[in-house]
Amino acid sequence: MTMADPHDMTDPDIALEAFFAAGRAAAPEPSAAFLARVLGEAEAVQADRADPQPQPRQGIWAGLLSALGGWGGASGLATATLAGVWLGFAGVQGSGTLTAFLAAPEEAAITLELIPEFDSFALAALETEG
Amino acid sequence: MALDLRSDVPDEALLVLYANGDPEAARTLTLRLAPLALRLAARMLGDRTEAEDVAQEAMLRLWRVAPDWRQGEAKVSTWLYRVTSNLCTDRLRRRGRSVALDAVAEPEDGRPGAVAGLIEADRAAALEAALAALPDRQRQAVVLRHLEGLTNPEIAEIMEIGVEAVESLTARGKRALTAALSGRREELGYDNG
Repeated sequence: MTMADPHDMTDPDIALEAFFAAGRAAAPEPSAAFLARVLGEAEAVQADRADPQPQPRQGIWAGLLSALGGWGGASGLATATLAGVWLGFAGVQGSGTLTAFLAAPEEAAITLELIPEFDSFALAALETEG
Repeated sequence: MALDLRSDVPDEALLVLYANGDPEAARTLTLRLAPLALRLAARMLGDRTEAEDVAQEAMLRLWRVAPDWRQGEAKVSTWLYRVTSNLCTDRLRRRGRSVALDAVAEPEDGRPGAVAGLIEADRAAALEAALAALPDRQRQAVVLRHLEGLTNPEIAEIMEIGVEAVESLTARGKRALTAALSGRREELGYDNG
């Protein structure tokens, strides 16, 4: 058995391989501009990952709401505040029920101490200074 | 651009470095892999501008997938060949025809002292024109096997078909190329030994 002559161009496989060799030698080369574009995108993706977009700044009320735990937390706080106010009334009236308070005659004098031990004289002094 | 300074570091390791923010890894991977995507796209599409767009898109997908890359599942180059191939197939479908024959480079006129190079360029141009006339899948298989030098199992993975189907595609492609180029062998100096 004889070996095929690698230069025998009448052999279709060898001839075709010669064309492939020419094709490999003439491979399209990337331009510097193309490589720069690819690298630019690589760096941009890398930078985005390293430094994610900051959250938009919240307004003061949105920040406060968030600190209170959202609308749910805020409504709970409001309920607790109103309950405290009512307990203050109830203590003053001594009856212990809201019904008793609401049923009281209109002319009955009601003293509501929102700030116990409040010194109205001290407030007057502050207003004078201001 | 500078040479690949990390030639001993595999692509997979460089991709991990890239995902961790290493700027040199971005540069090395670009130099190593972008030419590969561009070569395949140029040979599949026959249009340099479109090939650059496709190669850039394939590389962008690589940058985005880097943090989720699963080590040991696929070679980075195989993955990139597959993404590039799929993007080319999409373009060819949209184009509704095969390779842009009019975009295949015509050989330039002879310049003194460059005869050997010219013959080589003529041969490459003849091959390019013959490749452009092949059906898309045959062209893809022949390019990956004989111009990119990949193995049949690698091509099977890229084209998402069996190895036997790859062998069939390359065999049919080569027969068609031989028929197309047989009339040009003498003209291109191959029959002179």
